[in-house]
Amino acid sequence: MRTDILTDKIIEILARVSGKPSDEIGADSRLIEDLELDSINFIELDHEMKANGLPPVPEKELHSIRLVADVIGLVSRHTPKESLSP
Amino acid sequence: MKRVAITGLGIVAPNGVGVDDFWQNCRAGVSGISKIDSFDTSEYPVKIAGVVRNFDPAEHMPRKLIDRSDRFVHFGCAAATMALKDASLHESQDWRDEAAVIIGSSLGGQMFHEESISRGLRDNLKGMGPNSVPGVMPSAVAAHIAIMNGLRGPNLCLSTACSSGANAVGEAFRRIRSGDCAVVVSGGVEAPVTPFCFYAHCALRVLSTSLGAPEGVSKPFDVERSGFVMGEGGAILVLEDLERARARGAHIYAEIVGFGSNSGAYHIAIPDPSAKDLVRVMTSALKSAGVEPEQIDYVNAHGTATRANDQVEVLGLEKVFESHMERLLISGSKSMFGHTLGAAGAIEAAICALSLRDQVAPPTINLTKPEFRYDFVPNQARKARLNYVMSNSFGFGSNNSCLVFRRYDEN
Repeated sequence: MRTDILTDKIIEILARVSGKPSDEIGADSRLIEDLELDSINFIELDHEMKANGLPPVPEKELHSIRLVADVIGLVSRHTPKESLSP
Repeated sequence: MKRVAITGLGIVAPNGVGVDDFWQNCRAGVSGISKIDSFDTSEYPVKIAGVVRNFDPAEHMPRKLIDRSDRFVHFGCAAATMALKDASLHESQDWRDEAAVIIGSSLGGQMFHEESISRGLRDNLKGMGPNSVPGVMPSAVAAHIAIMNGLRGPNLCLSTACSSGANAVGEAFRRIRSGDCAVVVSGGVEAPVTPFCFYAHCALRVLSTSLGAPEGVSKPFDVERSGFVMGEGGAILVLEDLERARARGAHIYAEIVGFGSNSGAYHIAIPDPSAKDLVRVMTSALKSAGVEPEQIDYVNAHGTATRANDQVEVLGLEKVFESHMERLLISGSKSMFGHTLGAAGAIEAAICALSLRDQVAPPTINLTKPEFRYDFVPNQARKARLNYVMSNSFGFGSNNSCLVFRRYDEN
């Protein structure tokens, strides 16, 4: 999956989980302060990513991130390299 | 003992959203029964219900909560927002720490439950997300009302089948009357028009299978009644210590003056044909109110339009009111919006408050061939001198409750 497609997909999922419009979410949005995610929302995020065919991310890593860019980076790291090529 | 005032109402019903719309339609005898279009009913023996239309939860609650909560929570939170605004309590803060929330719901978050189970069965359980449990629990609505409005007193959910809403209002009345609370947000909500829940009621054979025009099917107290029409919705009543309400210059719809509740200890789904328990519950409500049967001017009947209910309820009324039955006005509001199960008692409590405010008895619509010779206010609302009115609510499991209301006189 290309990085820009992956970014769009993650922003779309975060919009659903946070209840914020997707055009208000950017790579530098903060998950807790800006998107107001709580601990149940992090479980939802994990659940939604799996349901959308994204690779499983270790729960500990998911809880240690701050920004939307970190989610994208984390998913990219756990995605096989060849599937990120155009 | 404190006097108990109704100072705010919020209503989401099949025949009207908001107090003004709902009450205008009740007075005009407008039905809210229509064809179900939220799921495919082609395999169902019943295809109609009292469905809430023209309702946008986003007008009353945050987007994030809407996506994570069941329709019954949407009804409850919307009605609570309306009721607190109606009571002019939405901006003040000094009452919130001690304010109770007591809400009735028979079935809780049915759509959430059904969707979770369907996803789980489809995806080997893994389709179930983290919101299933908080979405399904019947207490979710009382919890969300408290969270949205910062209400930090006792927070209760009563689930007593079709008397849930009336029991919630009754318990709220007791909290104020005893002095335990100064303000209670009370009521009932239900959203049972969902694929599994609706079919389960078809399977129980309590719903009318009439194929006539939807708005004419709910016919309580008519010889041609054929079962109840399911409905959805909710009503929230703000109850308040009357002296407190007066001191802040609040508008008072009416007073609640009596409440009775009991069990017939008879059967999980069939009423006791002797009506002994109904007589006891009405008598206990009258005693709680300190009034004689002859002082009641109007009864908002449970009136589901099942033979089992209507005949037993009339028998109970005859035993309580005896010769006063000749002068009593009685109406079955479910003729207009169907049976909203755990919401019904609260919606009908709101009707009683509005009846007393405006001195109008709402009609029993679709009453063309009355089975009984009493005055069921057929088909047209009627102006009447109403000082005391009563509302009956009876639930599965022989769970009965009865509320008595009084016209509020400023002097």
